[in-house]
Amino acid sequence: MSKKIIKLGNYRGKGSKIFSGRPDGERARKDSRLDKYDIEDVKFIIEIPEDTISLNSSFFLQMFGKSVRRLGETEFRAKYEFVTEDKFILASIDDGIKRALKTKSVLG
Amino acid sequence: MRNYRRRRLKRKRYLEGITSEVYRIRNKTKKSEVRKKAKNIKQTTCRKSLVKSQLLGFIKDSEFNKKCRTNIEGGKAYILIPEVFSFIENPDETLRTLQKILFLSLKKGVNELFLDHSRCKVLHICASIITDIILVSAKKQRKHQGKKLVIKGKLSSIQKIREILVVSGIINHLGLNDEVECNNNIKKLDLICGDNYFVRLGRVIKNSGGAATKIIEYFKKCLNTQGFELVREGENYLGEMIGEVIANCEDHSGEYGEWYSIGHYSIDEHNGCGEFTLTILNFGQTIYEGLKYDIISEKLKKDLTEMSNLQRGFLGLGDWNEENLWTLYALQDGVSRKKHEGDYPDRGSGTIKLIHNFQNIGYINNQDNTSEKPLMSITSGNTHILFNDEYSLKTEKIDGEERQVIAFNKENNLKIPPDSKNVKRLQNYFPGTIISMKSFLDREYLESRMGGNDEQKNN
Repeated sequence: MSKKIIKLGNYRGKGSKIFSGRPDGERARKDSRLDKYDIEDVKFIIEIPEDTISLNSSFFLQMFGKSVRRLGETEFRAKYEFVTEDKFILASIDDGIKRALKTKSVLG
Repeated sequence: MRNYRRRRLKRKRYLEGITSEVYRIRNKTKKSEVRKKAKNIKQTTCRKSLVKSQLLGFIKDSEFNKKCRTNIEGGKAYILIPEVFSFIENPDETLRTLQKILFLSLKKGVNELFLDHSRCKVLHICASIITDIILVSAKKQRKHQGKKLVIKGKLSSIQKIREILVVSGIINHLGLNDEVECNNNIKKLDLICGDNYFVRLGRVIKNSGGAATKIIEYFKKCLNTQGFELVREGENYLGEMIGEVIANCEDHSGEYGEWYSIGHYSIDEHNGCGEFTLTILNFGQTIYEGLKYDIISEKLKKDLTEMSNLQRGFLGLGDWNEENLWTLYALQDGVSRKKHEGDYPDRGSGTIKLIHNFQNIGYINNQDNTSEKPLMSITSGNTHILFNDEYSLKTEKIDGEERQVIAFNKENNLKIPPDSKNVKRLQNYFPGTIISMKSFLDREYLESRMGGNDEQKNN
Protein backbone atom coordinates (compact mmCIF):
# COMPACT_ATOMS: atom_id res chain seq x y z
CA MET A 1 0.00 0.00 0.00
CA SER A 2 1.51 3.34 -1.00
CA LYS A 3 1.27 6.42 1.20
CA LYS A 4 0.56 9.97 0.19
CA ILE A 5 0.81 13.08 2.31
CA ILE A 6 -1.65 15.94 2.05
CA LYS A 7 -0.51 19.19 3.64
CA LEU A 8 -3.86 20.66 4.49
CA GLY A 9 -2.27 24.04 5.19
CA ASN A 10 -2.06 24.63 1.45
CA TYR A 11 -5.83 24.87 1.29
CA ARG A 12 -6.47 27.65 3.75
CA GLY A 13 -7.25 31.13 2.56
CA LYS A 14 -4.66 33.88 2.88
CA GLY A 15 -4.24 34.92 6.52
CA SER A 16 -6.58 32.20 7.66
CA LYS A 17 -6.23 29.73 10.51
CA ILE A 18 -9.60 28.21 9.76
CA PHE A 19 -10.56 25.57 7.23
CA SER A 20 -13.89 26.76 5.98
CA GLY A 21 -15.97 26.91 2.84
CA ARG A 22 -16.96 24.44 0.17
CA PRO A 23 -14.78 25.97 -2.60
CA ASP A 24 -11.56 25.38 -0.62
CA GLY A 25 -12.70 21.87 0.23
CA GLU A 26 -13.43 21.17 -3.41
CA ARG A 27 -10.05 22.51 -4.48
CA ALA A 28 -8.31 20.30 -1.92
CA ARG A 29 -10.20 17.25 -3.12
CA LYS A 30 -9.41 17.90 -6.79
CA ASP A 31 -5.75 18.70 -6.19
CA SER A 32 -5.31 15.55 -4.13
CA ARG A 33 -7.24 13.47 -6.69
CA LEU A 34 -9.21 11.73 -4.01
CA ASP A 35 -11.86 10.52 -6.47
CA LYS A 36 -9.15 8.46 -8.15
CA TYR A 37 -7.29 7.30 -5.06
CA ASP A 38 -10.40 6.32 -3.12
CA ILE A 39 -10.63 3.17 -5.21
CA GLU A 40 -6.89 2.46 -5.19
CA ASP A 41 -4.69 0.95 -2.57
CA VAL A 42 -3.39 4.23 -1.23
CA LYS A 43 -3.24 5.50 2.33
CA PHE A 44 -3.34 9.21 3.07
CA ILE A 45 -1.59 11.11 5.85
CA ILE A 46 -3.38 14.42 6.37
CA GLU A 47 -1.11 16.96 8.03
CA ILE A 48 -3.06 19.64 9.86
CA PRO A 49 -1.16 22.81 10.83
CA GLU A 50 -0.71 23.27 14.57
CA ASP A 51 -2.11 26.78 14.60
CA THR A 52 -5.47 25.68 13.16
CA ILE A 53 -8.41 27.22 15.00
CA SER A 54 -11.12 25.02 13.48
CA LEU A 55 -11.76 22.53 10.74
CA ASN A 56 -15.29 23.38 9.71
CA SER A 57 -17.87 20.99 8.36
CA SER A 58 -18.27 22.89 5.07
CA PHE A 59 -14.61 22.27 4.24
CA PHE A 60 -14.46 18.72 5.62
CA LEU A 61 -17.62 17.53 3.91
CA GLN A 62 -16.65 18.93 0.53
CA MET A 63 -13.20 17.42 0.71
CA PHE A 64 -13.98 14.09 2.34
CA GLY A 65 -17.77 13.63 2.27
CA LYS A 66 -17.77 11.57 -0.92
CA SER A 67 -14.95 9.40 0.38
CA VAL A 68 -16.79 8.73 3.64
CA ARG A 69 -19.92 7.65 1.82
CA ARG A 70 -18.02 5.53 -0.68
CA LEU A 71 -15.81 3.74 1.87
CA GLY A 72 -17.95 3.74 4.99
CA GLU A 73 -16.67 5.00 8.33
CA THR A 74 -14.31 2.15 9.21
CA GLU A 75 -12.54 1.98 5.89
CA PHE A 76 -12.36 5.76 5.67
CA ARG A 77 -10.60 5.97 9.04
CA ALA A 78 -8.20 3.25 7.98
CA LYS A 79 -7.39 4.97 4.72
CA TYR A 80 -7.20 8.58 5.97
CA GLU A 81 -4.99 9.29 8.96
CA PHE A 82 -5.36 12.79 10.39
CA VAL A 83 -2.21 13.99 12.08
CA THR A 84 -3.10 16.33 14.92
CA GLU A 85 -3.09 16.27 18.70
CA ASP A 86 -5.85 18.83 18.97
CA LYS A 87 -8.88 17.10 20.46
CA PHE A 88 -11.25 19.76 19.10
CA ILE A 89 -10.07 19.22 15.56
CA LEU A 90 -10.42 15.47 16.06
CA ALA A 91 -13.95 16.03 17.38
CA SER A 92 -14.77 18.07 14.28
CA ILE A 93 -13.51 15.23 12.11
CA ASP A 94 -15.72 12.76 14.00
CA ASP A 95 -18.67 15.10 13.60
CA GLY A 96 -17.91 15.51 9.90
CA ILE A 97 -17.87 11.75 9.35
CA LYS A 98 -21.24 11.39 11.10
CA ARG A 99 -22.72 14.23 9.06
CA ALA A 100 -21.50 12.76 5.81
CA LEU A 101 -23.48 9.59 6.52
CA LYS A 102 -26.76 11.31 7.44
CA THR A 103 -29.60 10.94 4.99
CA LYS A 104 -32.85 11.91 6.72
CA SER A 105 -34.54 15.24 6.18
CA VAL A 106 -36.18 17.22 8.95
CA LEU A 107 -38.83 18.29 6.45
CA GLY A 108 -40.03 15.02 5.03
CA MET B 1 8.23 47.37 -77.80
CA ARG B 2 10.94 47.12 -75.22
CA ASN B 3 10.43 50.77 -74.33
CA TYR B 4 6.71 50.13 -73.92
CA ARG B 5 7.36 47.29 -71.56
CA ARG B 6 9.93 49.34 -69.71
CA ARG B 7 7.48 52.20 -69.42
CA ARG B 8 4.75 49.84 -68.28
CA LEU B 9 7.00 48.35 -65.63
CA LYS B 10 8.12 51.78 -64.49
CA ARG B 11 4.52 52.91 -64.27
CA LYS B 12 3.58 49.78 -62.36
CA ARG B 13 6.41 50.24 -59.89
CA TYR B 14 5.51 53.88 -59.51
CA LEU B 15 1.88 52.98 -58.77
CA GLU B 16 2.93 50.23 -56.41
CA GLY B 17 5.16 52.69 -54.66
CA ILE B 18 2.29 55.11 -54.18
CA THR B 19 0.00 52.34 -53.12
CA SER B 20 2.40 50.94 -50.61
CA GLU B 21 2.98 54.44 -49.26
CA VAL B 22 -0.77 54.94 -49.07
CA TYR B 23 -1.17 51.57 -47.38
CA ARG B 24 1.61 52.41 -45.00
CA ILE B 25 0.08 55.73 -44.07
CA ARG B 26 -3.42 54.27 -43.90
CA ASN B 27 -2.27 51.39 -41.70
CA LYS B 28 -0.28 53.69 -39.50
CA THR B 29 -3.34 55.82 -38.99
CA LYS B 30 -5.48 52.75 -38.43
CA LYS B 31 -3.02 51.33 -35.88
CA SER B 32 -2.85 54.55 -33.92
CA GLU B 33 -6.63 54.85 -33.96
CA VAL B 34 -6.95 51.30 -32.74
CA ARG B 35 -4.43 51.97 -30.00
CA LYS B 36 -6.21 55.15 -29.02
CA LYS B 37 -9.54 53.38 -28.85
CA ALA B 38 -8.10 50.60 -26.73
CA LYS B 39 -6.59 53.13 -24.38
CA ASN B 40 -9.90 54.92 -24.08
CA ILE B 41 -11.70 51.72 -23.35
CA LYS B 42 -9.16 50.82 -20.69
CA GLN B 43 -9.45 54.24 -19.07
CA THR B 44 -13.21 54.19 -19.19
CA THR B 45 -13.30 50.72 -17.72
CA CYS B 46 -10.98 51.73 -14.90
CA ARG B 47 -13.06 54.81 -14.28
CA LYS B 48 -16.22 52.79 -14.38
CA SER B 49 -14.90 50.24 -11.96
CA LEU B 50 -14.06 53.05 -9.57
CA VAL B 51 -17.24 54.94 -10.16
CA LYS B 52 -19.83 52.34 -10.77
CA SER B 53 -20.47 50.38 -7.69
CA GLN B 54 -21.92 47.05 -8.67
CA LEU B 55 -23.56 47.05 -5.28
CA LEU B 56 -25.40 50.31 -5.92
CA GLY B 57 -26.49 49.02 -9.30
CA PHE B 58 -27.76 45.82 -7.73
CA ILE B 59 -29.65 47.61 -4.95
CA LYS B 60 -31.16 50.11 -7.40
CA ASP B 61 -32.67 47.26 -9.40
CA SER B 62 -34.11 45.50 -6.38
CA GLU B 63 -37.35 45.93 -4.46
CA PHE B 64 -35.34 47.78 -1.85
CA ASN B 65 -35.30 50.85 -4.09
CA LYS B 66 -38.67 52.48 -3.49
CA LYS B 67 -40.01 55.95 -4.06
CA CYS B 68 -40.49 57.70 -0.75
CA ARG B 69 -42.33 60.79 0.35
CA THR B 70 -39.74 63.38 1.11
CA ASN B 71 -39.20 66.99 2.02
CA ILE B 72 -36.64 68.53 -0.25
CA GLU B 73 -35.92 72.25 -0.09
CA GLY B 74 -33.24 73.85 -2.15
CA GLY B 75 -31.61 70.50 -2.85
CA LYS B 76 -31.47 69.62 0.86
CA ALA B 77 -33.22 66.54 2.19
CA TYR B 78 -33.92 65.71 5.81
CA ILE B 79 -33.99 62.18 7.25
CA LEU B 80 -35.04 61.43 10.79
CA ILE B 81 -33.36 58.34 12.21
CA PRO B 82 -35.97 56.45 14.26
CA GLU B 83 -35.84 55.91 17.99
CA VAL B 84 -34.82 52.29 17.54
CA PHE B 85 -32.54 51.89 14.54
CA SER B 86 -31.79 48.19 14.60
CA PHE B 87 -32.53 45.09 12.56
CA ILE B 88 -32.74 43.05 15.75
CA GLU B 89 -35.37 45.12 17.52
CA ASN B 90 -37.15 47.21 14.87
CA PRO B 91 -36.55 45.74 11.40
CA ASP B 92 -39.45 47.27 9.46
CA GLU B 93 -38.94 50.86 10.46
CA THR B 94 -35.18 50.45 10.05
CA LEU B 95 -35.68 49.18 6.50
CA ARG B 96 -38.05 52.01 5.68
CA THR B 97 -35.47 54.55 6.83
CA LEU B 98 -32.72 52.88 4.83
CA GLN B 99 -34.92 52.90 1.73
CA LYS B 100 -35.44 56.61 2.21
CA ILE B 101 -31.68 57.14 2.55
CA LEU B 102 -31.09 55.22 -0.67
CA PHE B 103 -33.84 57.03 -2.57
CA LEU B 104 -32.66 60.48 -1.55
CA SER B 105 -28.97 59.80 -2.09
CA LEU B 106 -29.71 58.75 -5.66
CA LYS B 107 -32.23 61.50 -6.40
CA LYS B 108 -30.90 64.04 -8.88
CA GLY B 109 -32.33 67.11 -7.22
CA VAL B 110 -30.70 66.33 -3.87
CA ASN B 111 -27.21 67.59 -3.13
CA GLU B 112 -27.31 67.56 0.66
CA LEU B 113 -28.58 64.96 3.13
CA PHE B 114 -29.19 65.75 6.78
CA LEU B 115 -29.35 62.73 9.08
CA ASP B 116 -30.94 63.57 12.39
CA HIS B 117 -29.98 61.10 15.14
CA SER B 118 -31.22 63.29 17.97
CA ARG B 119 -34.26 61.14 18.72
CA CYS B 120 -32.42 57.85 18.41
CA LYS B 121 -32.26 55.86 21.65
CA VAL B 122 -31.11 52.49 20.35
CA LEU B 123 -28.68 52.14 17.49
CA HIS B 124 -27.08 48.90 16.40
CA ILE B 125 -24.16 48.50 14.08
CA CYS B 126 -26.27 46.40 11.69
CA ALA B 127 -28.40 49.40 10.71
CA SER B 128 -25.52 51.83 10.85
CA ILE B 129 -23.34 49.88 8.43
CA ILE B 130 -26.03 49.64 5.75
CA THR B 131 -26.46 53.41 6.01
CA ASP B 132 -22.75 53.92 5.58
CA ILE B 133 -22.44 51.56 2.63
CA ILE B 134 -25.27 53.33 0.80
CA LEU B 135 -23.96 56.82 1.51
CA VAL B 136 -20.32 56.10 0.71
CA SER B 137 -21.30 54.42 -2.58
CA ALA B 138 -23.58 57.31 -3.52
CA LYS B 139 -20.95 59.92 -2.69
CA LYS B 140 -18.32 58.16 -4.78
CA GLN B 141 -20.68 57.89 -7.69
CA ARG B 142 -21.58 61.56 -7.55
CA LYS B 143 -17.94 62.57 -7.29
CA HIS B 144 -17.06 60.84 -10.51
CA GLN B 145 -20.01 62.40 -12.20
CA GLY B 146 -18.51 65.73 -11.20
CA LYS B 147 -21.22 66.37 -8.64
CA LYS B 148 -21.31 66.54 -4.87
CA LEU B 149 -23.35 64.88 -2.20
CA VAL B 150 -22.88 66.61 1.11
CA ILE B 151 -23.76 64.66 4.23
CA LYS B 152 -24.54 66.48 7.43
CA GLY B 153 -26.26 65.46 10.57
CA LYS B 154 -27.06 65.75 14.22
CA LEU B 155 -25.69 63.24 16.69
CA SER B 156 -27.65 61.64 19.49
CA SER B 157 -27.22 62.91 23.05
CA ILE B 158 -26.78 59.30 24.19
CA GLN B 159 -23.08 58.62 24.67
CA LYS B 160 -23.25 55.00 23.50
CA ILE B 161 -24.82 56.00 20.18
CA ARG B 162 -22.37 58.83 19.63
CA GLU B 163 -19.53 56.36 20.17
CA ILE B 164 -20.91 53.98 17.56
CA LEU B 165 -21.31 56.74 14.99
CA VAL B 166 -17.91 58.27 15.63
CA VAL B 167 -15.86 55.10 16.02
CA SER B 168 -17.61 52.55 13.80
CA GLY B 169 -20.30 54.52 12.00
CA ILE B 170 -20.82 57.27 9.48
CA ILE B 171 -18.41 59.78 11.05
CA ASN B 172 -15.64 57.20 10.82
CA HIS B 173 -16.55 56.04 7.33
CA LEU B 174 -16.66 59.57 5.97
CA GLY B 175 -13.18 60.09 7.37
CA LEU B 176 -14.23 62.83 9.75
CA ASN B 177 -12.90 61.35 12.98
CA ASP B 178 -9.15 61.77 12.60
CA GLU B 179 -8.87 63.63 15.84
CA VAL B 180 -11.01 61.27 17.87
CA GLU B 181 -9.14 58.62 19.76
CA CYS B 182 -10.65 55.27 20.45
CA ASN B 183 -10.72 55.04 24.24
CA ASN B 184 -9.99 51.82 26.11
CA ASN B 185 -13.67 51.18 26.67
CA ILE B 186 -14.25 50.69 22.98
CA LYS B 187 -12.94 48.11 20.58
CA LYS B 188 -13.91 48.28 16.97
CA LEU B 189 -13.68 45.77 14.17
CA ASP B 190 -13.18 47.63 10.92
CA LEU B 191 -15.42 46.63 8.06
CA ILE B 192 -14.26 43.41 6.47
CA CYS B 193 -15.44 42.75 2.96
CA GLY B 194 -14.55 40.99 -0.25
CA ASP B 195 -15.35 44.03 -2.37
CA ASN B 196 -12.39 46.18 -3.50
CA TYR B 197 -14.73 49.14 -3.89
CA PHE B 198 -14.81 49.67 -0.14
CA VAL B 199 -11.11 49.20 0.43
CA ARG B 200 -10.83 52.59 2.14
CA LEU B 201 -13.50 51.74 4.69
CA GLY B 202 -11.76 48.73 6.11
CA ARG B 203 -9.97 45.66 4.91
CA VAL B 204 -10.52 43.45 1.94
CA ILE B 205 -10.31 39.76 2.76
CA LYS B 206 -11.50 37.52 0.02
CA ASN B 207 -11.89 34.26 1.92
CA SER B 208 -14.26 33.19 4.67
CA GLY B 209 -11.52 31.59 6.77
CA GLY B 210 -9.38 34.74 6.75
CA ALA B 211 -12.32 36.91 7.75
CA ALA B 212 -13.36 34.54 10.52
CA THR B 213 -9.77 34.51 11.85
CA LYS B 214 -9.80 38.32 12.06
CA ILE B 215 -13.14 38.31 13.88
CA ILE B 216 -11.87 35.84 16.45
CA GLU B 217 -8.78 37.96 17.09
CA TYR B 218 -11.15 40.87 17.65
CA PHE B 219 -13.32 38.88 20.04
CA LYS B 220 -10.22 37.95 22.05
CA LYS B 221 -9.36 41.64 22.50
CA CYS B 222 -12.90 42.30 23.73
CA LEU B 223 -12.74 39.38 26.16
CA ASN B 224 -9.42 40.63 27.52
CA THR B 225 -11.17 43.78 28.75
CA GLN B 226 -13.06 41.55 31.21
CA GLY B 227 -9.85 39.95 32.36
CA PHE B 228 -10.43 36.73 30.46
CA GLU B 229 -8.66 34.95 27.66
CA LEU B 230 -10.17 32.78 25.02
CA VAL B 231 -9.15 29.18 25.53
CA ARG B 232 -8.82 26.60 22.83
CA GLU B 233 -12.39 25.36 23.15
CA GLY B 234 -13.80 28.86 22.77
CA GLU B 235 -11.63 29.50 19.74
CA ASN B 236 -12.88 26.35 18.08
CA TYR B 237 -16.48 27.26 18.94
CA LEU B 238 -16.21 30.70 17.37
CA GLY B 239 -14.22 29.45 14.40
CA GLU B 240 -16.99 27.02 13.50
CA MET B 241 -19.75 29.53 14.08
CA ILE B 242 -18.37 32.50 12.22
CA GLY B 243 -16.49 30.61 9.52
CA GLU B 244 -19.64 28.76 8.52
CA VAL B 245 -21.80 31.86 8.39
CA ILE B 246 -19.42 33.71 6.12
CA ALA B 247 -18.94 30.62 3.97
CA ASN B 248 -22.74 30.48 3.64
CA CYS B 249 -22.85 34.13 2.59
CA GLU B 250 -20.27 33.41 -0.12
CA ASP B 251 -22.05 30.33 -1.27
CA HIS B 252 -25.67 31.33 -1.36
CA SER B 253 -25.81 34.97 -2.34
CA GLY B 254 -26.13 34.28 -6.05
CA GLU B 255 -24.78 36.24 -8.99
CA TYR B 256 -24.15 39.46 -7.18
CA GLY B 257 -22.75 38.19 -3.92
CA GLU B 258 -20.71 40.41 -1.68
CA TRP B 259 -20.48 39.88 2.04
CA TYR B 260 -19.47 42.30 4.77
CA SER B 261 -18.72 42.03 8.45
CA ILE B 262 -18.32 44.65 11.17
CA GLY B 263 -18.21 44.67 14.95
CA HIS B 264 -18.38 47.10 17.83
CA TYR B 265 -17.71 46.56 21.53
CA SER B 266 -18.10 49.00 24.36
CA ILE B 267 -17.96 48.76 28.13
CA ASP B 268 -20.73 50.24 30.19
CA GLU B 269 -19.16 52.67 32.65
CA HIS B 270 -21.75 51.89 35.34
CA ASN B 271 -21.66 48.10 35.52
CA GLY B 272 -18.38 47.35 33.73
CA CYS B 273 -20.06 44.91 31.34
CA GLY B 274 -19.20 44.81 27.71
CA GLU B 275 -21.77 44.85 24.94
CA PHE B 276 -20.53 43.02 21.89
CA THR B 277 -22.29 43.42 18.55
CA LEU B 278 -21.34 41.71 15.35
CA THR B 279 -23.00 41.91 11.96
CA ILE B 280 -22.40 39.66 9.00
CA LEU B 281 -24.35 40.45 5.88
CA ASN B 282 -24.47 39.84 2.20
CA PHE B 283 -26.26 41.58 -0.63
CA GLY B 284 -27.57 39.28 -3.28
CA GLN B 285 -30.18 36.57 -3.44
CA THR B 286 -32.29 36.18 -0.34
CA ILE B 287 -32.67 32.79 1.32
CA TYR B 288 -36.16 32.37 -0.12
CA GLU B 289 -35.18 33.51 -3.62
CA GLY B 290 -32.44 30.90 -3.68
CA LEU B 291 -34.93 28.15 -2.86
CA LYS B 292 -37.75 29.41 -5.05
CA TYR B 293 -36.00 30.46 -8.21
CA ASP B 294 -32.81 28.44 -8.39
CA ILE B 295 -32.65 24.87 -9.55
CA ILE B 296 -33.03 22.76 -6.43
CA SER B 297 -33.68 19.06 -5.97
CA GLU B 298 -37.20 17.85 -6.66
CA LYS B 299 -37.35 16.22 -3.25
CA LEU B 300 -36.46 19.44 -1.46
CA LYS B 301 -39.00 21.44 -3.46
CA LYS B 302 -41.66 18.87 -2.72
CA ASP B 303 -40.82 18.81 1.00
CA LEU B 304 -40.87 22.61 1.26
CA THR B 305 -44.18 22.89 -0.59
CA GLU B 306 -45.82 20.17 1.46
CA MET B 307 -44.61 21.67 4.73
CA SER B 308 -45.90 25.13 3.90
CA ASN B 309 -49.18 23.69 2.60
CA LEU B 310 -49.70 22.06 6.00
CA GLN B 311 -49.79 25.53 7.46
CA ARG B 312 -51.96 27.07 4.77
CA GLY B 313 -54.89 27.25 7.15
CA PHE B 314 -52.84 29.33 9.56
CA LEU B 315 -51.37 31.73 7.03
CA GLY B 316 -53.77 34.56 7.72
CA LEU B 317 -53.58 34.19 11.50
CA GLY B 318 -49.86 34.49 12.03
CA ASP B 319 -49.31 36.92 9.19
CA TRP B 320 -46.50 34.92 7.64
CA ASN B 321 -46.42 33.65 4.09
CA GLU B 322 -44.59 31.02 2.05
CA GLU B 323 -41.42 33.11 2.04
CA ASN B 324 -41.30 33.33 5.83
CA LEU B 325 -41.88 29.60 6.27
CA TRP B 326 -39.35 28.54 3.63
CA THR B 327 -36.78 30.87 5.21
CA LEU B 328 -37.38 29.18 8.56
CA TYR B 329 -37.06 25.72 7.01
CA ALA B 330 -33.83 26.71 5.25
CA LEU B 331 -32.20 27.25 8.65
CA GLN B 332 -32.76 23.67 9.76
CA ASP B 333 -30.14 20.97 10.00
CA GLY B 334 -29.61 19.29 6.63
CA VAL B 335 -31.66 21.73 4.58
CA SER B 336 -29.88 23.52 1.77
CA ARG B 337 -30.81 24.63 -1.73
CA LYS B 338 -27.54 23.08 -2.87
CA LYS B 339 -28.37 19.69 -1.46
CA HIS B 340 -28.68 17.09 -4.16
CA GLU B 341 -29.09 13.47 -3.21
CA GLY B 342 -26.51 12.25 -5.68
CA ASP B 343 -23.62 14.68 -5.50
CA TYR B 344 -24.13 16.79 -2.42
CA PRO B 345 -26.31 14.99 0.09
CA ASP B 346 -24.41 16.43 3.06
CA ARG B 347 -25.30 20.09 2.60
CA GLY B 348 -27.11 22.18 5.17
CA SER B 349 -24.97 22.41 8.29
CA GLY B 350 -23.77 26.01 8.29
CA THR B 351 -26.54 28.02 9.90
CA ILE B 352 -27.24 25.37 12.49
CA LYS B 353 -23.70 25.74 13.83
CA LEU B 354 -24.27 29.47 14.21
CA ILE B 355 -27.57 29.04 16.06
CA HIS B 356 -26.22 26.25 18.26
CA ASN B 357 -23.06 28.10 19.28
CA PHE B 358 -24.68 31.50 19.65
CA GLN B 359 -27.14 30.19 22.20
CA ASN B 360 -24.27 29.54 24.57
CA ILE B 361 -22.79 33.01 24.49
CA GLY B 362 -22.95 35.47 27.32
CA TYR B 363 -25.57 37.06 29.46
CA ILE B 364 -25.33 39.85 32.02
CA ASN B 365 -26.51 39.14 35.52
CA ASN B 366 -27.97 42.38 36.78
CA GLN B 367 -28.11 43.27 40.45
CA ASP B 368 -31.88 43.12 40.48
CA ASN B 369 -31.68 39.45 39.41
CA THR B 370 -32.76 40.19 35.87
CA SER B 371 -30.41 39.42 33.08
CA GLU B 372 -29.68 40.96 29.74
CA LYS B 373 -29.88 38.33 27.16
CA PRO B 374 -28.05 37.84 23.92
CA LEU B 375 -30.14 38.39 20.84
CA MET B 376 -29.64 37.42 17.25
CA SER B 377 -31.75 38.05 14.22
CA ILE B 378 -31.70 36.95 10.63
CA THR B 379 -33.34 39.31 8.15
CA SER B 380 -33.66 38.13 4.58
CA GLY B 381 -36.03 39.57 1.99
CA ASN B 382 -39.35 40.12 3.76
CA THR B 383 -38.57 37.72 6.61
CA HIS B 384 -37.33 38.44 10.09
CA ILE B 385 -36.36 35.66 12.49
CA LEU B 386 -35.50 36.56 16.06
CA PHE B 387 -33.45 34.24 18.28
CA ASN B 388 -33.89 34.88 21.98
CA ASP B 389 -33.93 32.59 24.97
CA GLU B 390 -37.57 31.65 24.50
CA TYR B 391 -36.93 28.93 21.93
CA SER B 392 -33.78 26.97 21.42
CA LEU B 393 -32.27 24.42 19.10
CA LYS B 394 -33.08 20.87 20.09
CA THR B 395 -31.96 17.48 18.89
CA GLU B 396 -34.78 15.48 17.35
CA LYS B 397 -34.74 11.90 16.13
CA ILE B 398 -35.87 11.55 12.52
CA ASP B 399 -36.21 7.82 11.69
CA GLY B 400 -33.43 7.00 14.12
CA GLU B 401 -31.12 9.76 12.90
CA GLU B 402 -30.34 12.80 15.06
CA ARG B 403 -30.99 16.20 13.54
CA GLN B 404 -31.15 19.65 15.11
CA VAL B 405 -34.38 21.56 14.79
CA ILE B 406 -35.66 24.96 15.90
CA ALA B 407 -39.34 25.45 15.12
CA PHE B 408 -40.14 28.44 17.37
CA ASN B 409 -43.09 26.76 19.05
CA LYS B 410 -43.49 24.87 22.34
CA GLU B 411 -43.65 21.49 20.62
CA ASN B 412 -40.55 22.27 18.52
CA ASN B 413 -42.49 20.88 15.58
CA LEU B 414 -42.05 22.37 12.10
CA LYS B 415 -45.51 21.13 11.13
CA ILE B 416 -47.06 23.50 13.66
CA PRO B 417 -47.01 27.28 13.10
CA PRO B 418 -44.09 29.22 14.56
CA ASP B 419 -44.50 31.97 17.13
CA SER B 420 -45.19 35.14 15.15
CA LYS B 421 -43.07 37.17 17.61
CA ASN B 422 -40.05 35.21 16.43
CA VAL B 423 -40.85 34.52 12.78
CA LYS B 424 -42.20 37.69 11.26
CA ARG B 425 -43.29 38.90 7.89
CA LEU B 426 -41.88 42.33 7.11
CA GLN B 427 -43.62 45.04 5.10
CA ASN B 428 -40.26 46.09 3.68
CA TYR B 429 -37.64 44.13 1.81
CA PHE B 430 -33.92 43.63 2.40
CA PRO B 431 -31.94 42.67 -0.75
CA GLY B 432 -29.85 39.96 0.83
CA THR B 433 -29.37 38.46 4.27
CA ILE B 434 -28.22 40.21 7.39
CA ILE B 435 -27.29 38.38 10.58
CA SER B 436 -27.12 40.68 13.58
CA MET B 437 -25.79 39.52 16.93
CA LYS B 438 -25.78 41.25 20.27
CA SER B 439 -24.15 39.61 23.21
CA PHE B 440 -22.61 40.53 26.53
CA LEU B 441 -19.26 39.92 28.11
CA ASP B 442 -19.81 40.13 31.81
CA ARG B 443 -17.01 39.11 34.17
CA GLU B 444 -19.45 37.96 36.83
CA TYR B 445 -21.43 35.79 34.45
CA LEU B 446 -18.30 34.32 32.91
CA GLU B 447 -16.88 33.50 36.33
CA SER B 448 -20.12 31.82 37.36
CA ARG B 449 -20.13 29.77 34.17
CA MET B 450 -16.56 28.66 34.72
CA GLY B 451 -17.50 27.48 38.14
CA GLY B 452 -20.49 25.62 36.73
CA ASN B 453 -20.96 22.86 34.18
CA ASP B 454 -17.72 22.17 32.28
CA GLU B 455 -19.53 21.44 29.07
CA GLN B 456 -21.02 24.91 28.95
CA LYS B 457 -17.79 26.84 29.23
CA ASN B 458 -17.30 29.29 26.49
CA ASN B 459 -14.14 30.72 27.96
